[in-house]
Amino acid sequence: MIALARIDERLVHGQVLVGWVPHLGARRVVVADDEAARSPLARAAMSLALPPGVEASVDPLNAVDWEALGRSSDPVLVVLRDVAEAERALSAGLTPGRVAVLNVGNVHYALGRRQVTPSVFLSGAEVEGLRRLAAAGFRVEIRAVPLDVPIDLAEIERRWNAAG
Amino acid sequence: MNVPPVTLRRVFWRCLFLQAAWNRRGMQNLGFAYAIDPALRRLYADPGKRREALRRHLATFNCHPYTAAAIVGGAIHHEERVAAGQEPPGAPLAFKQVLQGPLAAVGDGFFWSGLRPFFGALAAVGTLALGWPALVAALLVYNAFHLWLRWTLFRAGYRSGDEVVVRLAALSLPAWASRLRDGGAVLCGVAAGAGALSAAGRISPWAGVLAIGAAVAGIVALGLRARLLPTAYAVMAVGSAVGAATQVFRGGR
Repeated sequence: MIALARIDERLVHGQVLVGWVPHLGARRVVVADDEAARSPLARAAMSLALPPGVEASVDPLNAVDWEALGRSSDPVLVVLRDVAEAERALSAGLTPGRVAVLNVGNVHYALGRRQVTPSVFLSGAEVEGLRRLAAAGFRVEIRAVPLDVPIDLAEIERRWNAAG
Repeated sequence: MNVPPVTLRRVFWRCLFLQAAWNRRGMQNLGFAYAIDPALRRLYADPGKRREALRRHLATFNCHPYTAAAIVGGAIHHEERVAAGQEPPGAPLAFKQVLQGPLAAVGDGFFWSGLRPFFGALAAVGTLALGWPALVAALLVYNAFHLWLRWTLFRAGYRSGDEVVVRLAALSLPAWASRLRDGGAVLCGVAAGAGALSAAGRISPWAGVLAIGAAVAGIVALGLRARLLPTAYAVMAVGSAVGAATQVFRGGR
């Protein structure tokens, strides 16, 4: 089964491997990202940090077999780069039936993005995208590490509007 | 053109202040640009080019402050090639963006949840056994070791560029992290046990024997696959009850 789908611009880092992987009991991390999959350096680097007993793969988003991941007996953690990629993944087969929670971890500041939490900045289009993903059936939350209090979509929208 | 060793040392020194201007928009970006600036000054005589180079190092960056040294070193490696016209100007940034996440994970796993807690536990046990000089010694050894490792990572990044990943893999830091975590847990247990025993010993020798007995019973229960927290509470409760009951039989103090 897929234990969690996470949006994180830095893909695999400490919050993911030291925080989420033990919390979820995940045995496998799947990075679904075209850019990282193209880079041999990225692929080599991802495997550098893996704790013993956890495997990771870096694949182009469309090459991921979502159905097989959904049926996997070990818990899987899926990492996506941004909100747009999460919407692509949804149409490719990462459905709410296969993973209940869509977690937003890190989205960096960029022009046009407003700060929602210390680690998440969103554009209007991205809030819109999260709304569509929630409407599709995902429980959307912002939560950098497992012990943080999750922030739901209503609160995301409230903060985003207040930040304008 | 190569960056001279004296400048490399200066950049390394500045790496120690990587988080001094941490901010939510760019995170460690200002610290990174500040650290690498002496090298950029060496590589780009033309102020316009230097400005452009400095600007690309202001992009959002966040990593573990220790392992980031490898990325600063590697960024200089790439900047030398950009300055020589062998690589496009985007190469240093691509290098940083790809490695920041994985190296942050390596650093968090090895330093924050392995080495530092291990030395903390070592300092606690040492201080219980030998007094405050053990605490000072543990701090000195920890800092000497992490500074040496940071310098090693920085040099490896500078010398080998992308190949630094191979060099890092050879260190198998995640495996060491897990050994250090186990070692730290054992030390914490020893420290807690020593603390409990010396407290019990202050009451009476029999209380000390009782504490040891409770600990042995707990270890046996864990060996029989009992769960940790319930076992700990049960052993504490039974030990306290036995202690209280025997005091009652002796008519109290």
